Amino acid sequence: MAAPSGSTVGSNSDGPGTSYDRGVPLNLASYHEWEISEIGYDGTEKFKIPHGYQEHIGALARKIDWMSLIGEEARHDNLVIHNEKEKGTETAAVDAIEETKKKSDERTPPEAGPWHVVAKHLHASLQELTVLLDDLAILRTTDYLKPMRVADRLQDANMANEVTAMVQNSKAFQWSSKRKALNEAANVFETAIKTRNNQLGSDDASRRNKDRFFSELRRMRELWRVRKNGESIIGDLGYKIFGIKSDPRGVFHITRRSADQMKASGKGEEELNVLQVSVPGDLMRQSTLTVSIVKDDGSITSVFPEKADSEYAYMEMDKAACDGMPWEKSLKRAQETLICKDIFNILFQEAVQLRRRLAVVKEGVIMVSLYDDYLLRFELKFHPFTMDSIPTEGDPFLTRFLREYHLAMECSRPVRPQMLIDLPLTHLPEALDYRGPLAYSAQDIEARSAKAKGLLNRMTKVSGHYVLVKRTIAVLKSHQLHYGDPTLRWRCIRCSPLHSLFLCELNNRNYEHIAGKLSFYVQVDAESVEVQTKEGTEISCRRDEHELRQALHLMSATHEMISVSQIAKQISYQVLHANMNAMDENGVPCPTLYLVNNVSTRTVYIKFPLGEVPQTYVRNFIADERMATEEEKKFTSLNFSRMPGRSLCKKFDTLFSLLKN
Amino acid sequence: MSDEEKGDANNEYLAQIYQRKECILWGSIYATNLIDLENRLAGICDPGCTPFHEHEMSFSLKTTQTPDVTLRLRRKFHTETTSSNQWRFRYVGRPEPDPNCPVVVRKVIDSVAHSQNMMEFVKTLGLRLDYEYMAKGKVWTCGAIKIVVSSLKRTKQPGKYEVENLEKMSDSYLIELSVTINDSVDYHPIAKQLKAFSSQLSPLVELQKVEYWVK
Repeated sequence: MAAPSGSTVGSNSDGPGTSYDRGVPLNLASYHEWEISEIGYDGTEKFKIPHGYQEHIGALARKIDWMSLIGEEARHDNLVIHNEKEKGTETAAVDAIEETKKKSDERTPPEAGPWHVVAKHLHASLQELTVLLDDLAILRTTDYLKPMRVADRLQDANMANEVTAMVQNSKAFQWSSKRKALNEAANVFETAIKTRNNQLGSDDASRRNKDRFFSELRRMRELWRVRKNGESIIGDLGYKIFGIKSDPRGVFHITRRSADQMKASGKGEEELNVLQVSVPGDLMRQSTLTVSIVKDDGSITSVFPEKADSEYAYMEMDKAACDGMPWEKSLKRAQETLICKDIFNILFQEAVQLRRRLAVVKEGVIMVSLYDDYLLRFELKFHPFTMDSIPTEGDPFLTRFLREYHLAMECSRPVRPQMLIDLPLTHLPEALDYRGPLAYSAQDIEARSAKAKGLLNRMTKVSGHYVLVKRTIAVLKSHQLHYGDPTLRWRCIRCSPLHSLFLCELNNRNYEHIAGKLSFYVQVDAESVEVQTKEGTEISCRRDEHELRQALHLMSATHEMISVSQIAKQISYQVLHANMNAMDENGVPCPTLYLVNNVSTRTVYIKFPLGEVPQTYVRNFIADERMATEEEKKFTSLNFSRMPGRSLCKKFDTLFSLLKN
Repeated sequence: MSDEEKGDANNEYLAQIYQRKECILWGSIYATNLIDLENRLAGICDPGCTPFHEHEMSFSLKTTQTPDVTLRLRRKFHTETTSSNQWRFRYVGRPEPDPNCPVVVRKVIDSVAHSQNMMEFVKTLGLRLDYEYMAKGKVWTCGAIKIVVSSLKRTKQPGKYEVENLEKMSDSYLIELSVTINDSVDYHPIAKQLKAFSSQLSPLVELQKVEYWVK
C-alpha cells in the first residue's frame, strides 16, 4: 500500500549501478501512515485527515482546568460585573504590568553554575552519539549508506584522471593514509588519557587515602570476617568454624579515619592505618589464661593471693589509645580476650558439675584438686589494652595444651550425616552406623559411643600425667648420676599427653658379652607410675618417688646378681642358690647368691642390698654341717671397696679367680 | 521403678530416637549455576561436604477401606560393598497444618535394616512400588541444619539400573534444607532459624514452603 504523503524522488527504473546512473538513489517515505477511517464497498480507503496545528492546540487547551488556575472567585463569564469590580484597581494593575515589564527587561541570564561546561559537553557528546547510532542503524539495516575504509580503492574505472587513480591505488599511499588515520585516532585517546590524569591528580591526597582504605579493607578481609550491613561495615571476632559462625559478642565496626584525625594524631600517613575499628568495650583489654600446679601448704594466700590495685588498671578504658592502635593488633588482642573468656566459661561450667574432685572458683581463679596436696590452678587475668606485650606466667606446657585442646574441640565436627544421608544428623561414631543391622544391644551402644570428656577433666588428667613424668625423669636422672655400676640407660619410647613409657636398660661396662643387659619399662599414666619387667612382673610405685627409687634399686640388684652368677659360671663355679625374692631382716628385698668353686673348697655368699654395695662372705666348703665347728661355719666378710678391680664385675671376676683352687 | 514402668521409659526413649519432627524447605537450581551455590555453601556451612549416590524407592500398601500406607526405602546405589544391603525405612507423616510456620513440619520415623533380599520381604508384606529414583549429590551441614544438593535420575526400564538405562529427570538440582528435632520440642524457633538460613542462599536459590498436600 502506498503512503498518501509519500513520494519517490530520483527513482530510476533501471536501478542503481548502471553506467548512466549519476544521481544518488534516494527514497523518501513517511514514517507514519494516516489512519484509515473506513473502506468503501468498492475498495476505496478513506483516511482520517490528521489535525492541523491550530486544531491540535485547541484540543490541548480544552484539557486545561482553567478554574483551578484562576481561582473560584473569578468571573470571566460576566465581564460587566467583573469590570465594575476591577475598575478601582485598574490603575494599580497597569502600574504592576509596567513594573513587570521593567523587571523582565532588567532580567539577567541565570547563573549557569559550575557544571554548565560539563553539561554542555555531555549534551554535545550525546548528540554525536545519537548521530553515530543513527548512522550505524542505517548502515546495518538499509542499503542507503555504505561504509568505506580509509583511502579505499577507487572502483570507478571511468575516472577522469588516470594518474590520480593510479596514485591512490598504490600500496604506499594506502599505508601512509592508514597510518595518518590511526595517528589521529591515537591522538584522540592520548588527549583523553592526559585530561583524565590531570583530573585525578588534582585531588591526589584524597585519592591515595581512598586507595589505601580499600587495600586495607581487602587485607582485613583476608584475616577477619567482614560484611557490609546497610551503610556501615562491620567485622566479627568470632572464631568458630562449625555451626553458626557469627558471634554477636565480637562484632566490631569499621570506619575510615578522616584526614583531620590523621593530622591530629601527629603521625605520618604511612604510620597510621586508614581503617579504624571499634571493638566491644568488654573485649577492650588484654587477657591471659594461665595454668599452673601449686602445692597446698594450708595457707589461703598461697592459693588465692591478694590482688594489688594495679591489677585492676584494665578497667579504665582509654578509647583514644584504642583508636590509635593498629587494627591488626587491637583485633588480635580483643579476640584473645574473647577466646580466654570462652575457655574460662567452659572450665567454670565443668568445675560446677565436677564429681569426685574438689573445685573452688574465686574471682577469675579456678582451683581443682589434682592428687595428694597438689592443686591445678587456672587463672584469667586482664591487663590494660595497650601495645605492650604481657609476660607469660604459669606452666608453658599446660597453658599451651589448654589452648590446643580447646582448638581441637572447636575443630572437631559435632554432628555428621549418617551412612544414608536422609537419616538425621548424629553425634555417634561411624562404627555405630551398623548398630541396627549388627543388632547391638543398648549396653554395647552405650559402651561404644564416644562421650565428650570435657576440657577440665582432660586437663586434670594431662596435668597429673605431666607432673608424674617430670617426677619420673628426675628419679631416673638422679639414679643415673649416683649409681654408675651397673649403668642405667633410658629413653622414652612412647609419649602422649596421657600415657608415657620409658625403656630402661641396665648393663655392666666391658662385661656385656657375659652378663648381658636387663631391660624393663617404666609406665606413667595420669595417676600412677609402674615398673614392668620383661617377664611381666608389675611393680606399682603409685605416685611415690621413694617407691620408684626402690624399684630401680631392686632391678639393679637383680641385674647385679644375674651378672655375678654368670661370671661365676664362666669360671666353673656352681650356683647353690640364687634367690631374687629374698628379703633382709627389715623386710626389704635383698637378692642373695650362694656359690661354690669347682673343686669344692670355698663357698661364697653374696647379698645385694638395695641401693648399697654387695656384701660378700667367704668360707671353706663344709661337706657336713653337723660335723663342723662354729669357727668353721663362720663366714669371712670381704670389704667390697678393697676388692681389686674398678667395676663390680671385675671385682667378682678377680675374687672368683683367686678362690678358684 | 517396676518393670512395666522401666519398659515404658525405654519405649519413650526409643521413640525420641526414631520418632522425630522434620522441618524442611525445598528449592531448585540449574546445573549451570550449581558452582555458585556450592561456593556459597562452602562459605557459610561447616567445612567439608559428603558426597552420596543413593537409590530411593517408594512403596504403598493399597487397601480399599483405609488410606494407602506409604513406605520409603533407600540404600546406597551401585556399591559392591556390604553397605549396599543396608536399607533405610522411612515413614513420613502429614505436615502440620500451621499457616504461620514458614517451613514444612512433618513427623518422620526412620529405621535401618539389613537384608540381601529386601525386595522379597517387601513383596511379602504386600507393598507395591509407586516410583523410584536415584539421587546423586552432596550434603553440607551448618550446625543442626542439613543441606542436601542432589540431581535426580530415573530408570527407563524398571529393575535395570545400568548407566545407559538412567536418564535425568531435569537439568536442575534439588535443594533440601532440613532440621530434625525431637517430637516434643517446639518447632517454631527452629523453623524461623531455618528460614533465616535459607535467606542467605538468596538470590541463587529461593527456598519455599511447598504445600504439596493442598490439592
